[in-house]
Amino acid sequence: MLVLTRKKGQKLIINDNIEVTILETRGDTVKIGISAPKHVSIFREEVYEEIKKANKQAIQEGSLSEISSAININDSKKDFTSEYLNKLQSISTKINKPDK
Amino acid sequence: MKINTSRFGEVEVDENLIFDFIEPILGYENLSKFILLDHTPDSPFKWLQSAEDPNVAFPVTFPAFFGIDYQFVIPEEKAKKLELTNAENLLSFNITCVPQGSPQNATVNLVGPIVVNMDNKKSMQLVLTNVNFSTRHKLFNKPLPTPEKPENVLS
Repeated sequence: MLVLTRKKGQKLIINDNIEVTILETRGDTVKIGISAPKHVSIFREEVYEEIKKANKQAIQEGSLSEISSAININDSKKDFTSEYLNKLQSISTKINKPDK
Repeated sequence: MKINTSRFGEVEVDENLIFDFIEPILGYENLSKFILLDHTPDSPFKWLQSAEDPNVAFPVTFPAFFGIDYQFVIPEEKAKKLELTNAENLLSFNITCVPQGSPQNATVNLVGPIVVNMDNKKSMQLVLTNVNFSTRHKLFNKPLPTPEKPENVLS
């Protein structure tokens, strides 16, 4: 990892087109400004971590038979979304086996 | 071709129905081939099953079915990567977390939708910047009717 020391108001240039400015430091908080082309995605790391966590948990806990027996599909917004369901079905692989 | 799954055993799959994740499902960067398993016809839930790891299968659904107002704009460069020419061909669904024993507390991840180009099956998990979305949006606003199970004990 490249480590640089910067002062308030100073900048970093990455790859000719990304500009990182140290706007403010207060205690252990640093405020950073980033100018980058539109196609560059910038996220707080926590967002990624949260999605990773949610993904992982979905696998561990997933139990669809329970939820399927608990919802009344006919009560839901079936008309509104049936076209979408059909689309989904068109790219799904059908199976005819019990859930283990 | 045949795909091995820990949940359903061996499944015969049409090769045209294998999704190619050109950007990964976060946390599963080593897996790029997935299929959508249709277990119960008509159900709003499906399994996004890895074709490479039998143990990896995500329950997925789509929020509109549950009356959740959910819309997002796919960034232009992502659409380009998916080679998406017609918005009609974009399909999106969301990974769902169903806690064991309490399906009424099921949540859906609205921050990281899965998008698929139906034409070429190129897929990715997007990361949306909309701050109003949650990774754990409750699927049900009102409590579910209790399934008829007399032996059910409140926990």
